[in-house]
Amino acid sequence: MRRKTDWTPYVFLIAPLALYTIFMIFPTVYSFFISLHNWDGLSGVREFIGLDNYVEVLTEDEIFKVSIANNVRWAILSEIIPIVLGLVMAFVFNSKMKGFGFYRSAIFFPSVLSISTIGLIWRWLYDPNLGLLPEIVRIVTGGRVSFNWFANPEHTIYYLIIAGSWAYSGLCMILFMGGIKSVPEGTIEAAYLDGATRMQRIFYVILPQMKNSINIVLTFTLINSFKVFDLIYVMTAGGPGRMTNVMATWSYYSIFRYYEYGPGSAMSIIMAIILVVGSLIINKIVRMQKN
Amino acid sequence: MKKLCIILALLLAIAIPVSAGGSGESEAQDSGKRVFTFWDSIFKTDLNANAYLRTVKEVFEEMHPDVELQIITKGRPEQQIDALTIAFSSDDGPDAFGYSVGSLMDPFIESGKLMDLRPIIEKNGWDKQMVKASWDMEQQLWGDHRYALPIEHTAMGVYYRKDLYEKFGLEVPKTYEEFIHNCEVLQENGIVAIGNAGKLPAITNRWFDALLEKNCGPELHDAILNGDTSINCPEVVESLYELKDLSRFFQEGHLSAEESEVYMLWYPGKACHFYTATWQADTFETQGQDISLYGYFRFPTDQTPWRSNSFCYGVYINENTPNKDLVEDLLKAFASDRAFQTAFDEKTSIVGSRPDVFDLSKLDPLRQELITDVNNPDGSYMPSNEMCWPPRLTDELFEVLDQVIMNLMTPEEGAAQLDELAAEIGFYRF
Repeated sequence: MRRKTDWTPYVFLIAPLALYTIFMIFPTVYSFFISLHNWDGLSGVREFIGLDNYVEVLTEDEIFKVSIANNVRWAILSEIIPIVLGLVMAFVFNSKMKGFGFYRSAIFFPSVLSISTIGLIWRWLYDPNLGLLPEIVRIVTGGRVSFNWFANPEHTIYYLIIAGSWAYSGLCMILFMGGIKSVPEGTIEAAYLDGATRMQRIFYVILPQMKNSINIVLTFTLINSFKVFDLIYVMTAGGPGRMTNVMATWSYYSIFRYYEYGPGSAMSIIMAIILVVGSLIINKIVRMQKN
Repeated sequence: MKKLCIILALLLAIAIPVSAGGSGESEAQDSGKRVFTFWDSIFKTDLNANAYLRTVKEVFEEMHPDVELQIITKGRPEQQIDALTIAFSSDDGPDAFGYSVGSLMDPFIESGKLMDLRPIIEKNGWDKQMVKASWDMEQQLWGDHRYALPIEHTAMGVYYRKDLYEKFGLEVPKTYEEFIHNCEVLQENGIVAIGNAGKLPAITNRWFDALLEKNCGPELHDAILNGDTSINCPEVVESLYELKDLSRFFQEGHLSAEESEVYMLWYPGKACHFYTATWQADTFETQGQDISLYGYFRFPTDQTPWRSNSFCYGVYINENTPNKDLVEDLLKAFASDRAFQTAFDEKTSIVGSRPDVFDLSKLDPLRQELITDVNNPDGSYMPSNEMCWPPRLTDELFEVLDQVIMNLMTPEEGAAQLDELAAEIGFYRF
């Protein structure tokens, strides 16, 4: 006897699928289509040029190379700084001690701020004339050392990464706290009774059971680090000398400022490919360790 | 119940895609009037603050009571240009919009999106009423075509603190050497001689443009701006050297500073000079500053004729507007005496393109100097940013300026880099 198919779940899926198709699938496919053309975005004339835009972007565009390097720096450092900080803070503040609730909220607070607000806060902190950090450096060194975040444009990107990490660490802390809480207390107690030290309990009992949380945080961080745009737009607008551009900002400038829709779309597609591959690798590594 | 759920889900599935592509004409249907859309940036569309645009709307709607002039804000100018690009690329542009007169409009013109307004302008005699420099600018950009009706004309020059000049016994400089002397005296006395908002490279570029005018003279300068001669010439190199030298007077960290950060040094008298435009007089008043503390002078170029640096803002019309019958009346409203006079009477604003309708005797000394510069009989030159050069070349210039100032590139390398790109993107006309 044939089993009767229940269509109800599929009908309910139509609406989200329609949204996903309109706002995700179609723009991605259309971007890929544009990336194969020479088009200024305004005229009706589109010339099909195959993969030429990809070749041009990858071989001739010096700023794109700077942008990739910046994205890689951003990805590596933001996989380290906020995650390590978040993890350490999660272990430190994951207790019912009096006053820790306040610290948890204070550390999480930057995560709820808009990126433009974060950008403005850090621009003020760094400002060589009026900023808090240069003033501290001045006081501590008795005026012998001055602090200027734009003095060496190759290093300016690191100051942006610090600003981004500050905002993101709180979120990592909360996600890791969720992971810690999901470890059964009985397991930790058993390790304690077996004589495991606090560090041994963390490294051999809790962390291995937090693989899922770590995987999620690593993947999200990687995706966010390649999607970073607003913070750079607010803090440096890609300067000085275009040295703080990342793929997203450079793609934006190519499309909307230079009317180079083809190369700009090619950059977006390259970025998407890097993200997908990166996410798959992280998943694979975490899964291998699990096995 | 199950059937009801399925029907609701299906309705939702149909409604979402339909609403995603919803039409923007609903407001027109709501008011029952024909709608003429006008897009502008957030700096212009507050009708309480912008008496000029408010009056334009009134004048136009008095002419056409059955039509609503719908003024729509499209964010900051850089967001507005993005919105215009997206709208025009899908043939869904507004009927009209306001934007700077400059090469940023070239892609729209080249793809036939903007109307040539020359016949309407000549028919109504506006070419004789408005600031001549505005028309000269359009001539330089687009030859015999007129794609913008200029509504604002702005001169740019050096604002200075009169109290600091008085305190240190300084005179308004007539030569570049005198200007440098003034900066040195100020610096020796612990004052930031020049406040520079270098995060916006267009502001650093104002100094470079002034130095170009000084070193090239009007003819060569215009030739460089128009792509009629190579950028890689000794005068450009010299100007880059002088900009680098001038930057010793800028405040520390100027490359990351925005205008507001410069004001924080300038308003309390910690900085003396700032290179900015006519609108600054209005900004002083908006920000509660004592306008009598500030003076203005044209950058001393040591050249004859002694030209000003200026640019203008205009109204553009969509070539494919379905409201072609309303276009001339809209432009009449924008060019009307009443609109310019109201702005002048309410805000003493002198940025309007029709100083012939202002009562100049009402002006404070600062605005008198500014209006003199706007009407400079020696003429004016355009900024070498996107007012004149294509955005790619402009951004390359900004990069070169930053790198030369930071000693990451020599002026010779900078001029060569600009020249290479200008040739690559087909900017040169020779």
